Amino acid sequence: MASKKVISVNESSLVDLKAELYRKETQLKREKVDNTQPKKAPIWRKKKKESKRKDGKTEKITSTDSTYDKELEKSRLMLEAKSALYDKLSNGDIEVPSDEDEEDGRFLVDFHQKTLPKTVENEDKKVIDSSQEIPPAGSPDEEWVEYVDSFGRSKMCLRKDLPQMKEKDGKVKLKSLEESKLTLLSDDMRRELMRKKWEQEVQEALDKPDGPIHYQDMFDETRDHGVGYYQFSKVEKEREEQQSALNKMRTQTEQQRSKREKLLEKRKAAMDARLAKIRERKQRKLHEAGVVENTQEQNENTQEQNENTQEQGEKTEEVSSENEGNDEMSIGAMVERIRNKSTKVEKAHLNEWERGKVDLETFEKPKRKTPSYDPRSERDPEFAPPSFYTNEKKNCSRKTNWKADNQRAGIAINTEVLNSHAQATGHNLNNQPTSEMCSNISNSSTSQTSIAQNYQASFDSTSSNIQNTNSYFQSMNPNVANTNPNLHNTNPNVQNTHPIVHSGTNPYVHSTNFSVQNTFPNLPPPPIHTFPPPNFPPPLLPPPYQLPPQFPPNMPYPPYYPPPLPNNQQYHNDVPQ
Amino acid sequence: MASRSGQREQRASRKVETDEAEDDLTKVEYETSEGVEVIPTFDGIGLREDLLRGIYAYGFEKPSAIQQRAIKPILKGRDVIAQSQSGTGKTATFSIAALQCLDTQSREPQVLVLSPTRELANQIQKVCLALGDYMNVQCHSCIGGTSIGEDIRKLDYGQHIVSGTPGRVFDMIGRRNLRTRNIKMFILDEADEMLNKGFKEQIYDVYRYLPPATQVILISATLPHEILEMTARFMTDPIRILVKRDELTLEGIKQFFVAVEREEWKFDTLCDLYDTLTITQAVIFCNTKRKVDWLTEKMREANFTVSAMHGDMPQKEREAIMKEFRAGQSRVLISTDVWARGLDVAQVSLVINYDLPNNRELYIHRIGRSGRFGRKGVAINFVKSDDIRILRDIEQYYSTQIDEMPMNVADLI
Repeated sequence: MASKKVISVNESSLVDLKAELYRKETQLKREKVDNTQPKKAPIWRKKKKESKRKDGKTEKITSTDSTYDKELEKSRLMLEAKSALYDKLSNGDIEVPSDEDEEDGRFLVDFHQKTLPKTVENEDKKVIDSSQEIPPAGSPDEEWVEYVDSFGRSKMCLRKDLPQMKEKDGKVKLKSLEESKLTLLSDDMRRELMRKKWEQEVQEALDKPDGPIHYQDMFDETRDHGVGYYQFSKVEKEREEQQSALNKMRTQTEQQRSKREKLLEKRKAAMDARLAKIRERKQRKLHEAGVVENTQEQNENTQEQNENTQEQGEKTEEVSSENEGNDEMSIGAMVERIRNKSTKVEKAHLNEWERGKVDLETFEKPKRKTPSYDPRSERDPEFAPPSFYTNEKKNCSRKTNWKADNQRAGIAINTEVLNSHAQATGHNLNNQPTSEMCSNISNSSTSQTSIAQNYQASFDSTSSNIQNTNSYFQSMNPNVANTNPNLHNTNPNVQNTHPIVHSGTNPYVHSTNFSVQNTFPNLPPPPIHTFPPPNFPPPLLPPPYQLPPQFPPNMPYPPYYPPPLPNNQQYHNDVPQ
Repeated sequence: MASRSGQREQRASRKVETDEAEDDLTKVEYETSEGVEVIPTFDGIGLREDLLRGIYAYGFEKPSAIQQRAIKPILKGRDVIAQSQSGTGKTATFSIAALQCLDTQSREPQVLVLSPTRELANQIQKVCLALGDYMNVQCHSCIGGTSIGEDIRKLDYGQHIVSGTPGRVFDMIGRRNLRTRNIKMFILDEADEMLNKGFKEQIYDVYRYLPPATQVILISATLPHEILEMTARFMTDPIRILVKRDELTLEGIKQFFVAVEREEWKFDTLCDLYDTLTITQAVIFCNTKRKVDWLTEKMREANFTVSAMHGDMPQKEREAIMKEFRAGQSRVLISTDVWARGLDVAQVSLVINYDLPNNRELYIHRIGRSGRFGRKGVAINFVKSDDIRILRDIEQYYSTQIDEMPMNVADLI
């Protein structure tokens, strides 16, 4: 309790206040504890009161009322006194006893601080009050006088200041008079003045050297320009510089723009080419798929259908690509394509650089798959997939008859064109590097499956199906003498041949494709093929398929083929095409 | 020039040529020529690049209806009669076409533009300079009330476009300072006014000095029938781009009238409206110069700030007042019909016809000082009881609506 506290109002004062409150409360409690017991004591008094109550309610109420009133009165008086004291304290009327004097810091409020500004204010007030009570002027100069200024306002000043003020006011008056002089002039006079001024201006303009006039010289209105507005300088030289700079920037922009456009075009062309290729591949697949589904139907159906498809032929090329479900159409398209030699394969996707080149179908195929080194060739047969796996695939190959059909049909026409109605021995020279790497010569009498397997020959077809009956070819193609397609799985030497096969883009490749069987009923009946045909025109004959001596025996590998890798090493796929 | 207009027009022009039956022309209904191409972009019109830059820099983004239609035929070398509502970019239309046709290498005047007022001639000069800013075009305004010596000097310096009023232009042609040899395009802005009685002779005077192959362009918001009849005399097979008169008033301009009963009440009404006037900028039209002076004086007496302009003022003062008004330094302008046509101050949104105009065309032109280029505008007509008849006639003629002024007219501005 001893510590006397002045609570300054700040953030920490809250804690102080709380502490103070707590202190007071505990103090109060203690006092209560001290006081209540003696006060509470006389029981009789209570009883007396109760008895009184019993006596008469009214009396009791009035008595309590009166006590209440008294208490209220008392408290009011107390409060009044308190507030009066507070006012006095806060006004500084009563000197607040300094804290040191007080044993128990009587006030929690820092009245010193509180009164300070007020006292200052009051002193000011007192001063004003004193001035308001105009003291009798010592001299006539000190007297207050009222005067009216040039704006018509009444003002007060001391007499001694009056001339000064008047002078000041006069200046303002003159100024405003000067400003409003024009309106005071007669119109004629004013015009005369202005005329003189304008004449002077005109004279000045005449004295100026001749020069171009521009928008910037004329612009004098409130107007929003476009964002592109360039405020050229009014000085001719600067203007020229600005314009040339602007033009320079413009040409720069244009150059960059054209550059960018070119680049984009280039990219787009590349993209288009790639897309076209993909589309072509896809379409071919679609065509093929369409045929697969239809081969059986086709075999059953007769000419009617084909007539239909022939009619639709022209349209169907596109349609078939879009609508693979429409079997008739896809077949029709295919037939049409095959029939009409002029409409080459997927004309729509003929790229510029492809025009005028050899037949697309045969030419494109090598590009389909890059000649790839097949790592399986390195495989230890022990680790090969089980034989039934390949057997199954073999069965599947039946389904891919279409490929053979397709090819054969195309070749049938070719033979027609070549007027080679001869023996029933078709030979199929495939220069497709991966899937049809080896040229398969098959007898026409062989079953469809066997032909199909020529195409399916990539990794799994068995050599038993291939009958290398044509001695002509065998003799011509010593390198391919082992035409067992399986060979390339195991024999790297055979593999090495195919780059040559497809790199030698033989323009006669197409015409060397002879086929035997005609699966389309509306096609002319299968001719009796003899090979070589009796009147086979020599220029159209495929040049004797001789592999050039590209591989000198002392050269272990063709230059662009990687050496066989050790078994455990991975093959780098950076073979040039 | 290949004939492209409809048969009817051909018939009409033929009749004029043969002078068969001039009465018949009154029955001819002039219509927009067939096959007028609409080009929706400035780029599509095929303008030179530096001109395009000027156009975009000036703030135009897309050609207005008349610009979409009229520029191309002008560029093709056809005679063109173009009409469109007020404030829709007619000046820019012929300015763009003229600039496109210029050979800026040569310093000879190649385009001559005539307009009825000096202020309009100045404005056209300014527009041409603005649009041709990147072309470094030289455009001279050849107007009366200015120093002749200065005019001569400017013309001798070499100008591509001359925009002027007929009197001074004719004077300069007569002095041989304005050489007409290379003029290939003759443009009459506010053509109906130019071919009216007051100007017609002067126009013909100038026209006689132009090369015979000169292309003639007529432009106006109003083209009364008698003017269209007249065109056949000096135009060959013109392309017409016309607007029907019931489409001539703009939606954006609200028209009202205040019934004032007596002339004296107009002034009080105007004073009451002053606060509304100064919201943006306003033009008050009187029918005579004297009345303009009188009203200006009275307004000033009543402590209202107004400026005034009419044809009797010296040109320099007119220019000063125009400059002030364009810059927005003055907000209320009292004027005669010298201000009725063509002048473009974008901030004008209120027009007051203190007196009703003397003809129907002037009404369109006067109210067209507000609502420029798609902005909103309000026109208020002070109508004495005997004027109501005239107002109703205007209302009917243009199929428009002129209501009594509402209390909240300020909200419409």
